[in-house]
Amino acid sequence: MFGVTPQKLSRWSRLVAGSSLLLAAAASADVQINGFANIVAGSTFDDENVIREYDEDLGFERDSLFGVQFTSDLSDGLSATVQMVARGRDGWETDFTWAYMTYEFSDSSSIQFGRIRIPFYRYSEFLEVGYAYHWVTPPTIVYDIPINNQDGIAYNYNSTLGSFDTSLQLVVGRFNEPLKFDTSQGVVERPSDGVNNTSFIYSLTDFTWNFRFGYTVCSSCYLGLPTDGVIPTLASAGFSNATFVERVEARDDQVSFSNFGIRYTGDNWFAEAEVAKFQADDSMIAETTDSSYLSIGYTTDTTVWHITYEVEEADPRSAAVLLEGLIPTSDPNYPVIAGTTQAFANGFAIDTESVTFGVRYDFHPSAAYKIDFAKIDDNLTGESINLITTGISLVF
Amino acid sequence: MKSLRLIFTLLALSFVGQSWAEVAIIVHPSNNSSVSQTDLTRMFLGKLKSFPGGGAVVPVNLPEGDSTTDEFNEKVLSKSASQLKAYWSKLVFTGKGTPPKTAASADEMLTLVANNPNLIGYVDASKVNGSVKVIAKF
Repeated sequence: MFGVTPQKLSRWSRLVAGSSLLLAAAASADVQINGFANIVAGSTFDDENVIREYDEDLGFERDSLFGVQFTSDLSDGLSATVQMVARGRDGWETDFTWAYMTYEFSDSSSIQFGRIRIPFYRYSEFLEVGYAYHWVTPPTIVYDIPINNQDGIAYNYNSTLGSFDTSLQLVVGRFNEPLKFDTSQGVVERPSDGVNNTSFIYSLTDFTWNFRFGYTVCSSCYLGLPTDGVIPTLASAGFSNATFVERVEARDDQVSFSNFGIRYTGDNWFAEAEVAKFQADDSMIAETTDSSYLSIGYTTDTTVWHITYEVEEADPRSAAVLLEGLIPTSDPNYPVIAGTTQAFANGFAIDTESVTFGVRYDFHPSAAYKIDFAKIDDNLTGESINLITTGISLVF
Repeated sequence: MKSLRLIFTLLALSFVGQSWAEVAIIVHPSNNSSVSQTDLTRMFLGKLKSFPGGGAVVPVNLPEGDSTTDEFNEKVLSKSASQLKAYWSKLVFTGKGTPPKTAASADEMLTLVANNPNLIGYVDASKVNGSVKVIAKF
């Protein structure tokens, strides 16, 4: 379709071979096969402007993906599920996004045990199922979290409150996947290890409203950061200090993701908003990163017209604070050390706004065509980028 | 007089047209639950899992694209086929729910419902026979 190389083909055949193995193993049980795909192309139409790996040329790899899911019902409330996703941005390598057992205690409570997606925000758990939402991709400003999966256990409890259906989700897990950061030097990968990563989600839904409260905290977390390079950089300039390393690295530190979401769904109009706060203690990551969006849309039988405003802000840590008590400000090297430290810390400074206008057209019972036009303003650099993404999302 | 008769004829025709397109909600004859439209919607969206009078609910759909299915989705669930599919894909790919099973035809629906007190389904009202109980029409 768009240049399938022999290498990609062999990966695909591996995916298919793996799938058929699983099918054979579960041949006696009732196996449900479902899948989804997004084929997305994007461009900034300007070689000066690169954002989310999109540049002047039409790029297909960033957001295109194929997913397939097998669920085997083992009866008496027990089932096993695996979901594999092959992403263009990973060279079409297949990744297990979900692989878990579910046990339903009753109509209202169940546990999932295994590899699951972390429910940071409203769309986090089905971020890649493009058919399920109106945008080409959910608001990047909120959803550009470099962590997706963890191994753990999730408890779900459903109930009612007045006319609302309520859902409580408690999740504990551990993640240790490579983190992918979009930087000006391209995508940078760093290791991570988050122990006892805990999420608490409560949502209320009726036919018109949905409210969601979410809190995820990793109290003793290691996140490899693109800014960790400040340590060897300063060491080569003659400054190395254990306390400084502790202050700069996100090691055994607490990070948290808090979120409130609201959605109104009328006969034709809908509106939704999410407010998210990412907080990090004792590292070079900005203390607080605030991001939010508001999306309003009009729906007919086959078409959704929508507009979304997104904003993200974070103040960087100050070099003076990171270096406090470690080197006298009168030291002749202080200006260079402080300047370098601040330059790295500024990597976490954010002041971005964007407006996206988009259309979704359901041209087939299982497929939707989507196009989004976004104008992204970086208020720190004064740079403004136009990005067009378009593609097809399908489910089967 | 002539025009009055014409109006009556048109009215009668329009009633015929409507009743032909009516969707009947059917359960096993032994099922005495009274089910509101809200209950019905929650059952077919996987949120209500037992009948108000007790007993597990197993909702059954007619095939996608069938005109009765479209009517049911529109009149009872107030959702288009793609909105419904988007709703279920959220749940299916996060392990939080499974869409109702599908009967291959109205005849199969009638046979299934007539033989299982837990099932709830729907057929075109003109297809209903004595083997099932109609609890609502839309």
